[in-house]
Amino acid sequence: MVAETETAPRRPAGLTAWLAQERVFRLVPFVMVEGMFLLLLALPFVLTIYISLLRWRANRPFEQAYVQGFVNYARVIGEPEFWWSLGRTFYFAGAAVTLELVLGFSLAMLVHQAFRGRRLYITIFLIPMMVVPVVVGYNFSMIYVDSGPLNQILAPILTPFGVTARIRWLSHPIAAQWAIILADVWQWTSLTFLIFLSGFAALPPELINAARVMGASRWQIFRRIQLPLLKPAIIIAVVIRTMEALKLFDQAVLLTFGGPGDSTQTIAFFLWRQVWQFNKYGFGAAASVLLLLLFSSLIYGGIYLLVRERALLQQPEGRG
Amino acid sequence: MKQVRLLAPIALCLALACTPAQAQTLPGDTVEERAINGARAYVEDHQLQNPSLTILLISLFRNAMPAYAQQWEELTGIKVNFIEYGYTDIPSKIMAEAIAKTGQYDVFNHFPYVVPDAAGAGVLMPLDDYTERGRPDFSGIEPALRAQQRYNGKQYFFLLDGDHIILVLRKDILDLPGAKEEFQAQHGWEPGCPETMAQWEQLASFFHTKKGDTRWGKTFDQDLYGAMGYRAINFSYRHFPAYFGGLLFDQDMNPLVNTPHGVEAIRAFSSIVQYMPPDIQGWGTPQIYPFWASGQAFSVMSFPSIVGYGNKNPQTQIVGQQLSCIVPGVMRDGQLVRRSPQAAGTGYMVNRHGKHPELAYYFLQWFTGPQQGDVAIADPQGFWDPMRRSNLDNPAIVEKFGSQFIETTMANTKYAISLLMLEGNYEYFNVLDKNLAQVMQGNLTPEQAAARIERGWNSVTDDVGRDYQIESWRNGVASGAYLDTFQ
Amino acid sequence: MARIVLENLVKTFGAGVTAVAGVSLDIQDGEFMIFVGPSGCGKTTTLNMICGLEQPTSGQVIIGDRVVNDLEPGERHLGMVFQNLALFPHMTVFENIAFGLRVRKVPTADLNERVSRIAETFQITHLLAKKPAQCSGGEAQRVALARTTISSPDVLLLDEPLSSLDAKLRVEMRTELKRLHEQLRSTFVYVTHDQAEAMTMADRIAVMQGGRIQQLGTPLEIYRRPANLFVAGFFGMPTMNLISGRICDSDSPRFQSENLDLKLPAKAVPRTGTDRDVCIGVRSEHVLLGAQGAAGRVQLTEPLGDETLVFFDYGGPSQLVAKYRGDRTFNVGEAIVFDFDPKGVLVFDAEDETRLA
Ligand SMILES: Nc1ncnc2c1ncn2[C@@H]1O[C@H](COP(=O)(O)OP(=O)(O)OP(=O)(O)O)[C@@H](O)[C@H]1O
Ligand SMILES: [Mg+2]
Repeated sequence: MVAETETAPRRPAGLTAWLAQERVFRLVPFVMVEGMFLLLLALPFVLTIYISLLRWRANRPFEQAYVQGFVNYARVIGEPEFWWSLGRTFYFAGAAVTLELVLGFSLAMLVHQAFRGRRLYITIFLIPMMVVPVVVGYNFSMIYVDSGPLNQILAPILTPFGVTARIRWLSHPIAAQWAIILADVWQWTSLTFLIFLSGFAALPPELINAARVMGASRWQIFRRIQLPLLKPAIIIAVVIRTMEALKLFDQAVLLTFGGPGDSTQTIAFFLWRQVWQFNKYGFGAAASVLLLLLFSSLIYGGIYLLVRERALLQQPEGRG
Repeated sequence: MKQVRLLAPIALCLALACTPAQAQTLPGDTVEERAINGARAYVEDHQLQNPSLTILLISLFRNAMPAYAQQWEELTGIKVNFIEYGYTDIPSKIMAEAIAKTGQYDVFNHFPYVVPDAAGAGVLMPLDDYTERGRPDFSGIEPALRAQQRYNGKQYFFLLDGDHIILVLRKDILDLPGAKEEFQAQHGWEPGCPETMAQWEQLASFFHTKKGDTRWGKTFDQDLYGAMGYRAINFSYRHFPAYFGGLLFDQDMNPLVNTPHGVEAIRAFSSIVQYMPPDIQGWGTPQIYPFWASGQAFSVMSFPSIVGYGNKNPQTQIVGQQLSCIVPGVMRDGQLVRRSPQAAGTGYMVNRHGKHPELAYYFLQWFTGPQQGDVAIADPQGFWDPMRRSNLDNPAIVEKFGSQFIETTMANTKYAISLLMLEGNYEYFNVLDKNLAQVMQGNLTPEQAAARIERGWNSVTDDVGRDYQIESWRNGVASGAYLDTFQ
Repeated sequence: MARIVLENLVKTFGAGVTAVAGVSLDIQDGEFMIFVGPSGCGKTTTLNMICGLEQPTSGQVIIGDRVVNDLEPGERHLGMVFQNLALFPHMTVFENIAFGLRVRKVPTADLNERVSRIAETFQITHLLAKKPAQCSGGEAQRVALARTTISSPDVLLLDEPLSSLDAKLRVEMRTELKRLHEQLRSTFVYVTHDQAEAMTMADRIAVMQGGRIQQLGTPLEIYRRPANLFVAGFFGMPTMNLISGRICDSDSPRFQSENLDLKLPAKAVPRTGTDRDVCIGVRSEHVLLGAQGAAGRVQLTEPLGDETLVFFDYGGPSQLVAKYRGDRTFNVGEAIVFDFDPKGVLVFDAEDETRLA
C-alpha cells in the first residue's frame, strides 16, 4: 500500500488518480452501500423531521409553509385523540397478540405431535396469512353483519345463557373493537403458529426424553423444559406481531372506518386521517416522528431481550 | 354540422391571429359542439401527436366510463386513459399531486367538497378563462348545485350527478288494510311522505314491527325496522344538515350548532336510530342497500340510487313498492325548512399541473354538457343521478329511474344544498361524526355534543386560518351553495 | 438392583423399516453390558425400548421381575445418559442435577444435600452455578453422569456417551465410567460403536447387526472366537485378514485359493471344514513372517512403536497384514515369506459366514 501511494504522484493528482489508490478504491463498495442506506432510510427520515417543524397544512401550497419550531410536537402531545388512539392501539395489539400467541402456540403444540393428516392441518392453518388484507376486511365485514353468519353460529351457544346473539360487531363500540381484534387474530395466528411450529421442531428431542426418563410429567416437561426453551421463539413472535399489530390499519379502515365514533381508530388510522384526510402534514410528521421513537425503543427492547436469551442458550459447537 | 367541423379550425385560426389577447367564443351551436371544436383546434394549434388525457377515476365508474372515452376519441382523436381508485383514496392522490406536480393526471373525478383543499393547495386549474370561450350551460341546474362548482369566486368543478339525499317509504306497508286509518287516528295526519323529521319519526315508530307480530292482517315473518339511514362514521355528516336546516356557521364563522336549535337537530338525528337496525352505526352502502332491498325496513333516507337498486337488483323483494319522498324538513321560526345535502354528487376537475389543462377542460365541458350529460345519466351502467330540470322530460332517464322518482328527486333538488365548501372540511366533518356517534351510543347528551362540536370546529377554523375561512364561508353563502343566507 | 430380560423384542417403524428384529437377552444384575455394532443396527432403538422411550412392536422388557412394557420411562427407575448429554441449556448445573429430584418433589433441604454430595463425588462443585454452555466437554460429561446417578437408579443406560469427546478424554472417561460402575454396582447398559470402548469396559458384549444380536459374550470370547465373519471383521485392530478359498483334505489338510496353497495343521481345521468353500480368518498377530511358507512382497508398513504392521501383497485379491516386532524394519518392495500360526486360523463357512466349530 505504501508503494501504491508512492507511485501515485507520477500521475496528475486528479480525482481518478485518487480513486485509483487501493486504499480508497477498496472503500468504494462501502461508500455505495452506505450511500444507498442513507438515501433509502435516512433521507425520508430527515425529511419527515423537517416537515414536522413546518407550519404546513396541505390545503396551502408547500411554498407557503414555514418553519415554526416544535409547535406541532406540542400539539400532538396536547391532542387527547393521539393518546387515545395510541392507548387503543396498544390495547388492540396486546389483546390480538396475546390471543395469537396462545392460539398459535396451542395449535403448534397439537400439530407438532406427529399424527395422520398433519401436513393437511399445517396447510390449512397457514391459509389465512396468505389472504390479502383487503379481502380479509371485506369478508369479515360480511361475516360481522349483525344478522350475519358469525352471530348465527354463536346463537346456539349464547341463547341458552339468555344472551341475544345479535352482537353488533360493527357498531357497538366494544364489539367493534373485538371485531377488529378477532379479524387480526384470524389472519395472523397462522404466523405465530408457524413460528412456534418451527420452534417446537427445533427443540432437541433428547431434552424431552431426558426429562421423561427422569420422571417428569407432561406438564412438568412443558412448563420447565419446552416453554423456557421456546422463549426465543416466543420473543420473536411477540416482537414481529407487536410491530405489525401496532401498525393495525387495514381492518380498522375496511371494517369500521375507525367507528363507531372513534372507538376503533388506531394510531395508524389516526395518522392516516390527519395526513391524508385532514391534510395536516406538519402535524402528521411530528406525530410519526414521536411514534417512530416510541416504537423503535420498544422493538429494540424486544431485540435486546432476544439476543440476551439466545446467548444464554447457545451451546458451544463441537463439545469436547 | 359538417360544415361547422370543417370551418371551425379555420375560424379559430383567424380568430387567434386577429385578436390574440381577446378571448373569443368558440364556434358551435351547443355546449358539446363548442367543446369538440375547442379540443380539435387545440390539438391542431399545438400540433399534438397522439393526444391523450388521463382521468383519476372513482373506481365505481370503471364500467360505464370507457364508452364515453371511446366516443371522445372518435370525435376528437384524443385518447382517454383511466387510473382508478376507491373514492376514499382519491383525495390523498389529488393532494399528493399538489406537492409532486407530476402531471400524470389531467382530470380528477371526485366530490365537490374536495375542491376547497385542492384549490387551496393550487392543484386545481381555475376554469373561468376556458368557460368564457367554451360557454358551458348550467341553466338547468338548481342554484345550490351549480354554486358548489365554484369556490372563492372561481369555477373549478363540473358537476354531473344529483346525488342529494331523499327519503323512500314502503308503499306496500302503507297500503296494508287499516294501517292508514289507525295511524291517522293516532297522529292526526294521513301517513305518506312526511313533511318534517318529527313526522318521519312518528312513521318509523308506528310501523316498527317485531317478527311474528300480526298487524293489519299481515303476519310479519321478519323484523320490520321503522327507519334506516346513514349513521356510520364518514357518513353522518352527509345527513346531518337535513336535520339542522340552516347555515352551520354565522358570518364570522362562529358555529351555530351549540344552540337550542342545533341541540334539537342532534337529538332528532340520534333519536330515530332506535327504529333502525341495531348495527346501523357500522353500515355503509354495501350493507344498507341489500338490507333495504330485502324488505326489512319501512323507510330509508339515502342516496337516490337506492330506488333503482330496490327496483332492479336481482335479489330485491320490493319491486314497485317504493314511494320516493322529498327530504323532510324541520320547523324554524314557524316555517318548514327542507334541506337535502348533496351527499355524494360526483364531478370533474382539471389538474393545473397537467400538460394540457385546456384540452382536459374541453372533455369536461363536453361530457357534462346538457345533452351529453343526460346520455350518461340515462346510462343503465352508470351511477350518475338526475340533476337538470331537463331530466324530467328525458324519456331515457324517465325510463331508467321511473317518473315518480324523477319527479320527486327533481322537486328535491330545489332544496339541495352543498356540504361545507371550506378548507379542512374533512376535519370539520370528522368532528361532527365522532360526536354524533357518542350521542347515539349514549355517552354524550346532545347538549354536551353540541358544545364539543363547537369547540372542535373553532379549533379547525383557527388552525386553517380564521380570516381566510370567514372569507371563503361568506363567498360560499353568497353564491347560494347553502340556499340560506345570513340573518 | 435389577436384572434385565429382553424377550424377543421387535421394533418396526412404519412400513418396512425394521430397526430391531427379535432381540432376546438376559442382562445380569450389576453387569456392565455393552451393545456394539455399526451405525443403524438398532442399538439405540433397543436401549430406548428398555427405558420406555419407544414401545416395542412385539416382545417384552422385564426389569427386576416386572414386565415394564406399559410403564412410563419415569416409572422404571432407571437413568439414561444421552449421546449429546442432553443437559438442559436454560438451567444451571445445579438445577440440571436437581431436576430428577425436583420433579419427584423431594424436599429442598434433602435435595440440596444430595446435589452437593453428588457434586463432590464427581468433582464438579465449582460448576454448580454455571450454565452447561460454560462447561468444558469433560465437565459437561460429569454433570450428565451426576444428573443421572443422583437418584441411584437400578439401571443406567448410556447411549454413546463418549462419542463427542476427543480421543484422550474418551480414554480417561472410560476408566472413570468403569470406576463408577464398580462404585454404584448397578446394571449398566452401554451403547457404542467403538470396539475399543467395548473391549475395555464390558463384562459382556452384545454385537448387533441388522437389528439382531450376532454374538453375545465376554470381550475375549468375542475377540478370540467370533461367531461369524461379521463379528470377526468388526473387532480387532487392524482388521482380521480374511481369505476365501477351499480346504482340501487329501492326506493332510491344505488351504487353497487362487494364489495360495498352504498346509494347515490338522488341529486347526474343524471336522466339518474339509472339502467345502470357506473363508479363513487370521489376525495380524497370527501371521508369521519367517523362513517358510508362501511368498509375498511388502507394500506398506505402519510402525506403532513396539510393533510394526506390515501390509503385503501375496497375489490374491486383497493385501494381508502381519504384526511384527518393532525392532525390525521392512522396506517397501522387499520380498518376504509368510505362514499362519495354526492356533490363530479361524474357518468360516463361505455360505452362511458362521464359524465352523
Ligand atoms: N423414529 C424412527 N423412525 C423411522 N426409522 C427409525 C426411527 N428410529 C430409528 N429408525 C431406523 O431404525 C434403524 C435403527 O436405528 P438406531 O437408532 O437404533 O440405530 P443405532 O444402532 O443406534 O445407530 P447409530 O450407531 O448410528 O446411533 C435405522 O435404520 C434407523 O434409520
Ligand atoms: Mg444410536
